[in-house]
Amino acid sequence: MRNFIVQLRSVIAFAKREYVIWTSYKVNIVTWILDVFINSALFFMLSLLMGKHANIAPYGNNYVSFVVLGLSAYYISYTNLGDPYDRVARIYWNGTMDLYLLSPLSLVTPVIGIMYRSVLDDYPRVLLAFLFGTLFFGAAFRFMQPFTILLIVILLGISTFGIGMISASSFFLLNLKVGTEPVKFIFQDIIIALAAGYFYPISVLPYSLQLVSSVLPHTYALDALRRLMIPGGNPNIPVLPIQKIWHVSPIFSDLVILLAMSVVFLFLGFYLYALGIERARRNGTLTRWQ
Amino acid sequence: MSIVNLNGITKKFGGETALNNISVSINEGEIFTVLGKNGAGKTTLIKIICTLLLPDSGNGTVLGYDLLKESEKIRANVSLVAPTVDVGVDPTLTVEENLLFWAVVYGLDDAEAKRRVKETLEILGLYNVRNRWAMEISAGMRQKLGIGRAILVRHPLLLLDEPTVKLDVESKFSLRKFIRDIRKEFRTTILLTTHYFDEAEELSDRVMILEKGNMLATDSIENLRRRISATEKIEIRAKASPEKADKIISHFAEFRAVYENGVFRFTVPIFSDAMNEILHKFVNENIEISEVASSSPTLEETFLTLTGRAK
Repeated sequence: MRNFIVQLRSVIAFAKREYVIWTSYKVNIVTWILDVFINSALFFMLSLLMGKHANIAPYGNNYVSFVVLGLSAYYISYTNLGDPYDRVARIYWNGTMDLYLLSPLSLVTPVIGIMYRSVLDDYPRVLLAFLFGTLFFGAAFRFMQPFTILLIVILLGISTFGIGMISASSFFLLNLKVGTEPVKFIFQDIIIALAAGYFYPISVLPYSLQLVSSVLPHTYALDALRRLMIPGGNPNIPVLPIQKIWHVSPIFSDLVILLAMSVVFLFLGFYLYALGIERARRNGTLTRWQ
Repeated sequence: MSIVNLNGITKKFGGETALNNISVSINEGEIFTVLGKNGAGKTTLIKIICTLLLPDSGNGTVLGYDLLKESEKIRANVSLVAPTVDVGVDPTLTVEENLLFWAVVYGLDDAEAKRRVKETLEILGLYNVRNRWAMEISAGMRQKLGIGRAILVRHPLLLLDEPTVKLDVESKFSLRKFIRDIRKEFRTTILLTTHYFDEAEELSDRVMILEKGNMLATDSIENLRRRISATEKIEIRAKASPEKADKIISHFAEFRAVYENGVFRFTVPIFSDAMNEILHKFVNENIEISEVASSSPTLEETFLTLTGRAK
C-alpha cells in the first residue's frame, strides 16, 4: 500500500513539475491556443465544404461534429501512442533514466509521470476543438449514456498508451536510440493515417483496409462515440466488419473489443518495456552515462 | 560489516573485457576509492554495484541484498551521483523546486521532504539561492545540487562517479569537505571513482587500482606505498659540530646516516617511528634544526609503479 502511495505521489509531483515548466513559457501558451484554433479551423472549414456531400450515416447528420470527434481521438491517441517513445528517449538522453531507476519508483511510473507534458499540451486541445467547433462551425452534440462515453474515452486512452509503451520498449529492446521507431511508424504513420477514420467513416474504405482498421482501438472508440454523441446517430446499425458477424449491439461490441485491446496492449507494452530494460541491463545500453 | 561484497565479477562488451574477475569487499562507513585512468572500468564497476548493469559472471551482495536476484531492492537503497554536472537538475525549476521534486520521488512525505530539502540546502550552501532557477546558478552549484538530490535520502551507500570532474578548485575543495562531512555525520559508505590522485589521497580509507578491467591492488594508501618502496628518505638541515655529527651518524648507522654540506640524510623504513626517534636525538644533543623534509612515494608514483608505467 505504501508503495502504491509513493507511486501515486510521484505521478502527482511529475504533474506539478511539468505544469510549472509548461506555464513558465508564457508565449508558448498563446501560440499553443492559436495553433489549436488554426488547425481545428482548417479541418472544420474542409468539413463545411465536404459536409454537404458526406454520407456519414449511421453517425447522425452533422459532419462538423463527426470531425470534432475525429480530431479529439486524434489528439488523445497522438499523445498516448506517439509520446512514450519520445519521453523515454528524453529521460535517457538527459541522464535522468538512471536516477529514476535508482529510486523506489516502478519502471513505468517515470514514463507515466513524464507524459504529463504531452497531456498538458494535447488533451486540452480536445476541449478547444469542441469549443471552436460548437461556437464557430455549427457542431452539435448530445450526451447519451455519459458513463459509457467516459468509459470509451478512458479505454481509448489506455489502449493507445499500451501501443505507445510497445513503441517505447523498442528504445531498449531493439536499441533504437535515434531514427524512426518502427512500431510508432507502422501504427501512427501508416495504419492510423490511412484507416483510423478520423475524418471519414470506415465504411468508405476498401474492405481490405476496413479489416486493417480493425486492429486499431480508434475504430471502435470513434464508432461508439459518434453513435452516442452526434445528434441523429443510430446505435443499432452495424458498420464495422466485426459488427456484421457478431450480432450484438454495436456499442456493446465496441466496448468489449476496446476493453480487450486495453488489457492486451497495456500488458504487452509493460511486459516488453520491462524486457527491454532487462536486456539493456545485460548489454550495457541502459544508461547514457559512460 | 560488509556493505558491498563482490566475488569474481567479470563483464565484457563484445570482445573487450571491461572488468576481469573483480573481488572486493567494502566496509560500512568506509570511503573506498576506485582509481584508474579513463577506460579502466571504474564506471562499469559502479554500474554493476548499483545494478544498472548485469555482470557476465560472478556474484555478490550489496547492502545484504543479492546482486543478481534482488536488484530492485538494491536500486531503491543506493544513491548515485554521475559525472554529468546537471543530471537530474531541471533548469526551468528553482533550486528548491528541484530538490522537492526528487524528495517525493524518493518517497519522503511532505513534511519530511520540506525539512530535508531545507537541511540539504543549508549543508550545501545553496539556501540563499533556493529561489533562483537552476539555469541561473554556476556549474559548481548545479553539481552540488545534483549531490544534494543524492543525499536527500539517507541511503547507506553513496556512489560518486568522478564527482569533482568539471569543477573549479574552490568547488572541488568544498565538495571534498562535504564528502568527508556526510561520512562523519551519517556514517554513509562512499564508493568514489576518480582519476585525481590528490582527491584519492585526501579522502580514501582504501583504494582499488584498476587497469584495463584488472584489479591491480586494493589496500590503504600507506600499504600501497609500502608495496613499492620499503623506505623513505629524511633530510634534516642543521648546524652540528664534527663531533656531534659523527655521534649522530654512528648512532643512526642502521638508517644509513650521512652528513654533507650541513644536511643529514637518513634512509628509514617507511611509515616507521624513525623520524621521531631521530628528531628526539637532535634535541637531546642540542643540535639546532633549520629544516626537515621527508620523501615517500606519492600515490601517483605508487599508481605508476603498480600499473607498470613508472619511468
